[in-house]
Amino acid sequence: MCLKAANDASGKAAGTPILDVREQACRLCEDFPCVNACPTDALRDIEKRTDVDMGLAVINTETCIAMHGMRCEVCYRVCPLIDKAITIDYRLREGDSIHSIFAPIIDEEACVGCGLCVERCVVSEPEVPIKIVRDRAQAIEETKRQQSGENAD
Amino acid sequence: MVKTVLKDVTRRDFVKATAVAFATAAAAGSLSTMVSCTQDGTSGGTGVSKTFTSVCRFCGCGCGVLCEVANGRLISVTGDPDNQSNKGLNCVKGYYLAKVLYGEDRLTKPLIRDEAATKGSGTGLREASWEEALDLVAEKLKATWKEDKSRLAFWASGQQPIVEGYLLSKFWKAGLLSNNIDPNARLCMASAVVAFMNVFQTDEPAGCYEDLDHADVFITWGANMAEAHPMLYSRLTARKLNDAKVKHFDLGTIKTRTSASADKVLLFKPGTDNAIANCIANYLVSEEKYDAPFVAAHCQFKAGTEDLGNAYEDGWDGTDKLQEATGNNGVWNIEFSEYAEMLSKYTFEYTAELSGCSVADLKQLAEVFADPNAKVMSLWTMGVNQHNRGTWMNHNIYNIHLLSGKIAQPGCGPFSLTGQPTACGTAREVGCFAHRLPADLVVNNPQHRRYTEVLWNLPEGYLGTGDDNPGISKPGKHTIKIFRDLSNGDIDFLWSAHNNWAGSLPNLTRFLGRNTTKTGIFDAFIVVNEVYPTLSTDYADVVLPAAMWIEREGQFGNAERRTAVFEKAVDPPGDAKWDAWIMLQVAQRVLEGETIGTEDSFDLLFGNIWDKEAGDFISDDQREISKIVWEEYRTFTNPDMVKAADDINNDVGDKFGVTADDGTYTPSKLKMFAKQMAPYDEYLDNHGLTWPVREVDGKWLSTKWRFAAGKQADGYDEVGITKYGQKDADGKLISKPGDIDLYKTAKFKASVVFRPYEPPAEEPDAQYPFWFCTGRLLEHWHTASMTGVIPELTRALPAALLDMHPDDCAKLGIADGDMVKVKSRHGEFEIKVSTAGRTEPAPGVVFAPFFDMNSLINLAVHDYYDPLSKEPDYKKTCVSIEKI
Repeated sequence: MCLKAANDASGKAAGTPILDVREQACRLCEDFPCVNACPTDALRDIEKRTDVDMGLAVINTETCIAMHGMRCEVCYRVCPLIDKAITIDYRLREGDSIHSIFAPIIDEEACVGCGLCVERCVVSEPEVPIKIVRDRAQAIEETKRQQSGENAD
Repeated sequence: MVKTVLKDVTRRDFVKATAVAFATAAAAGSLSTMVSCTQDGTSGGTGVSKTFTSVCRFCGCGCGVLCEVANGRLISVTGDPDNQSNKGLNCVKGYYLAKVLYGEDRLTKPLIRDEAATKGSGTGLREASWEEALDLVAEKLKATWKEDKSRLAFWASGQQPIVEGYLLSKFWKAGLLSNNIDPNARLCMASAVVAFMNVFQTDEPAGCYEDLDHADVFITWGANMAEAHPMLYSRLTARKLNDAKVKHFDLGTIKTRTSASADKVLLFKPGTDNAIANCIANYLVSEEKYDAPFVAAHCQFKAGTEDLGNAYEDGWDGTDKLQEATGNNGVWNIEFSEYAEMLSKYTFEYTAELSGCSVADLKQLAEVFADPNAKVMSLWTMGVNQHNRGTWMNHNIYNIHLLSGKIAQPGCGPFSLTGQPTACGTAREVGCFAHRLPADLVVNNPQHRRYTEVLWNLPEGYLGTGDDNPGISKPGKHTIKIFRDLSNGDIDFLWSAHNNWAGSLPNLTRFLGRNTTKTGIFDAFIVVNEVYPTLSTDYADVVLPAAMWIEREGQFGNAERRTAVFEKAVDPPGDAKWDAWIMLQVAQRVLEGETIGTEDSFDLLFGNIWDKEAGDFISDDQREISKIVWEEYRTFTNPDMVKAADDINNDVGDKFGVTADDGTYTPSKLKMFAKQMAPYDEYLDNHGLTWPVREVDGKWLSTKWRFAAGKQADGYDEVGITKYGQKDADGKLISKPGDIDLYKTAKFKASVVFRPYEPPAEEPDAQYPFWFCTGRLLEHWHTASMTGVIPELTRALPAALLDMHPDDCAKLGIADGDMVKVKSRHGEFEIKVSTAGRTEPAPGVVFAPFFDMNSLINLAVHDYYDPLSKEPDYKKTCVSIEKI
């Protein structure tokens, strides 16, 4: 249900199962029906959720509204691995001693890249502030740049 | 109205504006500069626009927001940095607030249903003119009123602005002499109200939001503040970040997002919270760790009727036991030693066994109250109020705060949170309840009725004098009684506004006439004022399209007694009208030819704001109308504005007091200044004020801590205590700064009432083995009739899920994501299961939110209610769960 076939424009071989996570993320179904259904054994070696590796979520701290003090954290609450793959870093709001920021933080060990956070994120403009980066090393690099205050984009 | 699309503001501008705002925030350390999202993806900040001060439309927090309007259209909503409740912060609902006005299916024309059989079918409504719709509503209301006024009812709301609620209350109580008016606040705050009145003889908390900034220990009692009160939880969290010693205990029957950041979580067996609070009290008393001087000065002890049973039968309110429990003999005085004896059963061991909490955890919690230096703030909402012994649990929280002297001081006190933006301001303060009149007055008190008669220019005795002339001296039907009667065919006319009863009531299988012989909903004439189609409009005979939120001027009163005005900023769409206009149009028709004394009824009640010949308000300026109504309402809490009222307030003429056997007379003084309200403009100028608002040296000042001695300018209750406080033989005030004075109580003493543990109305058995708890989540508000039109919020949380413990799922062969049927003795619904852990119920408990009308969970929830408050228990229905 989550997967759809790649078309010629995607850059992948036509028919390869791909996820458009903004449209429909992987549900991390407990019994992985997609693995059983796959006729070519392309989806394999998955027994439990933590075996999945589809990438790593990266948050754009500039455009994420939670980072600016809005009580949002939708990505955190919808995460199938809540409190593991996404946690909340509670921070005092700058210049405001009586309110705090609930900052969602991706755990690079625990996140399997299902993309539900991307599907459900409320912000669309200028772009969705959370994305799945397929290459984990690149994702970690981007996150580090975000945290050091640089805009990855 | 043609919707205007701003062409001059591009998406690029929005991005730029947002980026600039972020940069400003970072550079200047500004408190709030975040430009929130706009209703159409564009933003102002350029071109000609005007900004209005306002309050968020949704929950009880009452966050201030600024509304930017251009070309007659709301283009952005931003947190108000000058509002001290939220300092510009919002939650994701508030961030997208601008879109709430512009959902595609706004109701813009009156609708009439010609065939009652089409109710509930999603079809059958046709467009009509206002004239036709109003004539029809008035004709039906008048016919029922003349025939048998026990068969009509109004279901009001904690979302109805104060002026509208006041006018409604006046129309219903004085115009129709009917007490069959009750609000949806009955479903959320009634248990809190009854306890406030019992303990303090006045409604609403002594403390304020600022307590969150000073407490040493927070205790949440069955309250998922992290989701249901997002801004306040941000404030609580900031306090913890500011001081690592601050601790948070979270007590509940499920682990929630609030538990996730608590220092200690105590999960208890449903209903045993009354035992836990008594266990703390027992520890304080038996170990002599209570605040003895405080107790001696400020507390009296009482016990009350016990073994109350539950509302399984429709006639339960009338049983002898209930009559006693709710009558004058329902509570009696006891000695402190008797109270101690009653508590003695609640040892740590007994309570641990009953509740499932460990002795060590209970001891740790009890020690918090035993520490004389700890500032402790208890916070609660629906877990405590929607409880078959909810009034008792409110009592029990007050009991432990009173025994420990932890009340009405900065950072220290019990704080009852509310769920709706003006449950306090309207439903409670202007009297839209079956038993109430404005300003804490009640219908069954002759002095209260007389006071109201004077302020409403009614002849003496008009509101009732006794059995020969009952008037409104007997309370009307409470909410569940109204809807039980409706289902039984005993209500002929029902009108509702600012609520969605067909989604939010419990036991909808019965009340919507499904799978039951109780199908009165199809026979009664039902009128619904609404802004979007809802399940309730689907059962309405007439739907009246209303102006929404800032499409008219309004006033909200939030949980901390803060009254705030939201300005009219845009016009309503199409033919939608201000609810006050709708109500007065009907009132004019229904009261035509009626007299009160020798005067025309309608003119006597509403002639100051309505021109009958023109069939409209005397002015197009809603500010002007609101001010006139506010000034009239304000006389209730400023009795010196009307001498005749002040005389009743002070019992001049010795009419309402008590004469002792020796002939000495004790007057009955109402102390109406205790809830003093300020002139209308003050609320606009100050971005809201918390009552009692006092005039000191020409300035109107809020009271943050009621009953607390100290300077008015610092937020203490100086004026109230000076006027009404306890004095010594020389007439000098007894209280010193830092003390409290419970001047609203008859003996300057709060009532500590022993309230035991009694089991829930239903308990799990082989057939229905799970507890089913319901509630709210952050993204949607109530039945999502408003948040559901905001695409971003629907994207974030498209459907309700049933949260279950993985062990329970394993036993039933249910996987995460499976659809199940949830079935109770009352009804059933289907829903998808989640074990992801957003909420983590203990084994044997399941949870689902009530926003999703496609998983109508209230079909299965029972309608058994607290005997004292008549508030239903939404938290403890017993259900079975079956994979489908």
